[in-house]
Amino acid sequence: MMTKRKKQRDLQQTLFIILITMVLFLGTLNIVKGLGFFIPSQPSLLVVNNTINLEEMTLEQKIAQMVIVHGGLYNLQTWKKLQLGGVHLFAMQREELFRKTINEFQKEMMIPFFVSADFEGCLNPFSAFRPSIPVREITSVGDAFEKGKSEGSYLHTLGFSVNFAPVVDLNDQIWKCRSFPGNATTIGKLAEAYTLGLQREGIIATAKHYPGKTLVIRDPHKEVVAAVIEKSDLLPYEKLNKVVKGVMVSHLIVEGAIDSEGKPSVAAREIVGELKEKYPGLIFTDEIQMLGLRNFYPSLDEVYINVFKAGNDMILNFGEDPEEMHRMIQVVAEAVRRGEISKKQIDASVRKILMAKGFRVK
Amino acid sequence: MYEKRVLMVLNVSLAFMAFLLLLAFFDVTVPNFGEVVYRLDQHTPLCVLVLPEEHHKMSDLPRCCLEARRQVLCQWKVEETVFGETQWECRASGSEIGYLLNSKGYHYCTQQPYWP
Repeated sequence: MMTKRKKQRDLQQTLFIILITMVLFLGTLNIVKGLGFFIPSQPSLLVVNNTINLEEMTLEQKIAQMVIVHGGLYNLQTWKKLQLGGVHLFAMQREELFRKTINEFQKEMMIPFFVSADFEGCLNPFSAFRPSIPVREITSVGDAFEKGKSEGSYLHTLGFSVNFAPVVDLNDQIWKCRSFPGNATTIGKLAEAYTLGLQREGIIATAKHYPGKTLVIRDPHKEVVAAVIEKSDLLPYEKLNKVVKGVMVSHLIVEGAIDSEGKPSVAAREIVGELKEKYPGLIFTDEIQMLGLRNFYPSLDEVYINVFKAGNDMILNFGEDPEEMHRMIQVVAEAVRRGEISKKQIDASVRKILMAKGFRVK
Repeated sequence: MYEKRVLMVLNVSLAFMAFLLLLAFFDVTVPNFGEVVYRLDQHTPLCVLVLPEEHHKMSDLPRCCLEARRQVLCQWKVEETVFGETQWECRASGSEIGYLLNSKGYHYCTQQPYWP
């Protein structure tokens, strides 16, 4: 009897050792996977005399350059390994944290990341230590220029290169402080002055959210987010076309003065293509993990393919899963290989991005 | 006898953990804690945008979640608003703007891919 009990206890003890080893092993594997260890590295890029040869970049490297992610330090190694195009920083408690994060990301990168923020005025990621005047309080061209210049200088000092501002939606019904005051013409003028000030300090300004009506209160009972665009909504963009270096496209389904043919603007060639004909700068998507866009398509793969296919130059994806980010690049690369997305279009976008980063491109 | 029972309980727990870790490794998702709480909570998700002079209900919950994520931190803070009670506040210090969420809304946000 005693021997049988002892045998059972020994069996339980052996099983315990096996299981705890398995848990530790699988736990380590999951951590390592979460850190992006299983994501293959891209070859090093050759930059000679500040010139990059597009032919020497892999398709995956090109697609990665078109992606902006959230710059959390927990994903530092993976984002660097993937050689992504940019990192976006949310609010932080201290100025040194911004400097430290940006330095860590830019260290040893052959092609530096774009570093972006939403420094609009009343949306202010630096509010803990640097107050900012909301744009609704800016009424003169001179003040708008000074605001742009001072904020541009501050962003440049910290190491930022892109600001997702100015907001040129005509009517901010939600926050009531993100848009300049006045009618379409005044908003256009003030936004132009702000843009000139910002860009004088070396920061890429991004007019948003094309084609307008993004900050309007929605009917919560309607699943599809749609709006009727008037000519006046497009006026600020016409004013800014020759000045601003970036435009951000929204997820709204639009009709009226411009028609997205029932698709979200950001995924509609009708919207992005038409914008590209008039405007030579960088075209950014709004964040693509927003439910409105994700729910429109049956799968995330279709979201990825359609936002690239529409012709956007830079895709904002704040998803935090490194494996999923790698998968997105693979999904888009496959779509390019089978001809669903044009390789020429990808090359044109990457050329624009690299030139905006200060490189010559062959 | 007592030691054998303890070992059995431990082994069953470890086997369950190993199974979950194996699923996670192969990207098979099981409902996480946030999702379970979200599903069990019978309230309507609520997000209140706090502006300097007014509170404003945000009906676009996904946008609210993204904006809340952009703040420095979200902390447990119970507040009574005209739209109902909220339990979470997301705000960067010094910011005029903040977001108040009830538990259902907060747990909805934590399931979004941009919420780590």
